[in-house]
Amino acid sequence: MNFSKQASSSSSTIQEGKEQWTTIITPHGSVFHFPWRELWECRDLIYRFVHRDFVSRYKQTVLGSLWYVIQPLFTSIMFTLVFNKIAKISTGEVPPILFFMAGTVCWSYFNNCVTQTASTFTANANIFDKVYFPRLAVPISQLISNLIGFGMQMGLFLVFYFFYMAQGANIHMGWRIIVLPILLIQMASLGLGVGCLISGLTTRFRDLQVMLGFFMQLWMYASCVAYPLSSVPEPYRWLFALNPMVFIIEAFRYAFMGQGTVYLWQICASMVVSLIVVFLGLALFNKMERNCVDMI
Amino acid sequence: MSAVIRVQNLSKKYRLGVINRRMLVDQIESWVARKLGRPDPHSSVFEHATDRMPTQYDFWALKDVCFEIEQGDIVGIMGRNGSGKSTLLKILSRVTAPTEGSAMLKGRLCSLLEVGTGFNYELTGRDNVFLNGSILGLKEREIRDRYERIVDFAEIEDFMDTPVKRYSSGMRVRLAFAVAAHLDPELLILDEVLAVGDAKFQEKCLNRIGEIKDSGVTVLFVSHSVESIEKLCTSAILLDEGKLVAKGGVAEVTQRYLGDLGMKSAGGLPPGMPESRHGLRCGRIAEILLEHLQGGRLVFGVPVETQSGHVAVDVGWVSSARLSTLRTEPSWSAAPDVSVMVVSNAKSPAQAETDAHHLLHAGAKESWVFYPNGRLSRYKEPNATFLTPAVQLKITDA
Repeated sequence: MNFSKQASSSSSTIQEGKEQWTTIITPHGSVFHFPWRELWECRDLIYRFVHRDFVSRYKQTVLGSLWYVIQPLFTSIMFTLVFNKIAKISTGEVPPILFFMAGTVCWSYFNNCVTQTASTFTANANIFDKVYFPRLAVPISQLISNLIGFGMQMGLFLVFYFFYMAQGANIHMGWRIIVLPILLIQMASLGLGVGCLISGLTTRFRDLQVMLGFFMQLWMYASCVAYPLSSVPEPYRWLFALNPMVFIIEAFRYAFMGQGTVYLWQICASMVVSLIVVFLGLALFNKMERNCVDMI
Repeated sequence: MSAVIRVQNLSKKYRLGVINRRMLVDQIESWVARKLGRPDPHSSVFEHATDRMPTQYDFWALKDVCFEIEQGDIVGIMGRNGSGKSTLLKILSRVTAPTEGSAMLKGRLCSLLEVGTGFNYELTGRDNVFLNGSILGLKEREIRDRYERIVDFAEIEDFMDTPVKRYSSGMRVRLAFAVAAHLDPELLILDEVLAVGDAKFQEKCLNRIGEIKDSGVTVLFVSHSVESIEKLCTSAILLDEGKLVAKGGVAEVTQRYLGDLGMKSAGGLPPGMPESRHGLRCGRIAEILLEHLQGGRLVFGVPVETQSGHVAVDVGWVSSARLSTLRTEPSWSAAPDVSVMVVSNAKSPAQAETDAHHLLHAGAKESWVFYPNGRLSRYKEPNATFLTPAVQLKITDA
């Protein structure tokens, strides 16, 4: 071994060096650098994480999978009883249970994405402490494995949907259904962004983890899950436009049932807010990723 | 040959002395208390006394470390606890970022800071091989190529489709090591994960490491054990308090390491007790042992598993034949043939005597207790004869 006493400092060697080194470890990486290529390279790992979640969450127990169906079903029934029957909130021509189920299904996917991304650093501390891989692979795999649960809940939703359609309810699925993938992508990225922001805070302050459930519940009530946007008085609607989840849920209902309030400016506002949140979230995540091990 | 790892002025700073208020509620409470001029409910005693925030001070776990490693080198990284070994490895494996300086690597690096990272007990053995392999940086295709070899190595063909939660702990470790042993990286970082499983499997692991070593892989190997470093490495680095103090051939670096240990082995020494005195005593004992015993080696400060937990043997002598049958990482499975406890301020005579008896039960042929007044008590196994009948008990503090 040749231990050069003085690490080579002539600029020519360094120039030459940069071409041949495969990894250069430096103190500060760019916060706004998004590791597309690295993530693509570890797609096998993402697939394995999804596979792990699928097996341990859904495949292991029959009842485990059943939970994913029971939860939105009962929530929808509850909402129907409380908001429709007791509080007399009108759902228009849409059968109430279908209306609430649409909101619940969307919300539960978003909620799962946020809470799981938020606990990325704390839940994976033991792995992060030992091995390097792009940390973003963990939350991204969660977004994907949550799609399995979302798929099951969508199945339940569609069962009710076609049941009511056969009953002759005034609902029709048109070409608008093609926006569903876009809505899903927006929900996933928004969930990732919010989750990343929260994960940054929860590593510093552990009690925010407890607050998270409460915070998400408040957010749900502000997101038109249990009432239509049309029931909100006109002067306040602009405020709801700032909440991207309002647009997503309303657009979902509009796509499936032809009923919902979606304006063009609302779409734009929702996209802009989502983009800002994702951008900030990923920047914070990048910053955290480099030194998270020292803080957990 | 060209360098495959180049480390330039690598430094890592940790900030100590700041009381981290883990809860936002606590933080707010402290802030309100300060504003109202009341004592802070979360402050330390020190803060109460001086009425100010504890001063932050920087702790450099690594400071200006420079070295280069060439392809095919097996480099042992030595140093006492807290000397910065793990920090260096963590930076090189990109688990944490350095504060200053840089490190450049050529080729794919695999770091094995433990075996079985990310094992999920709900999954089958087969799935875990793939999951663990992916976490360690293998592609799906590469794992498929290695799968047969991994299963053969782990010797659990029949259980690959059984969930790992039903495995015995030995089977789990074997499977984990089997994956680790078949990564075939260009740069490999190993952190005392060597001895796993039963004696037969341990031998297999060591053979495999020998094979890896011969295949031209560059290895960074961290260990407390001089023995394994001498057996496996071609060169070595010695770290002390975050600084690189020696680098070069294995023999000279291990010599230096042992020398440092002899002088500083009294890590838990209370203030007031001169370090050098304890060191001198250990050194004196070591001399006597070397004088009378051949075919073995001296060890300092090794942790030994006994009935009453771990006991640190100040000075010990173990025969080479016996050493090869012992597990020495992370602690010794049995005591050295001659185990010496040195009474100091940190270790009362009574404690030293109790430890000496535990060491006898843990496989020591003789255990000695050395008192500050120069007296040496020797205990032996009931049916054994003393290894060193002629030792003259003339040890006094020079």
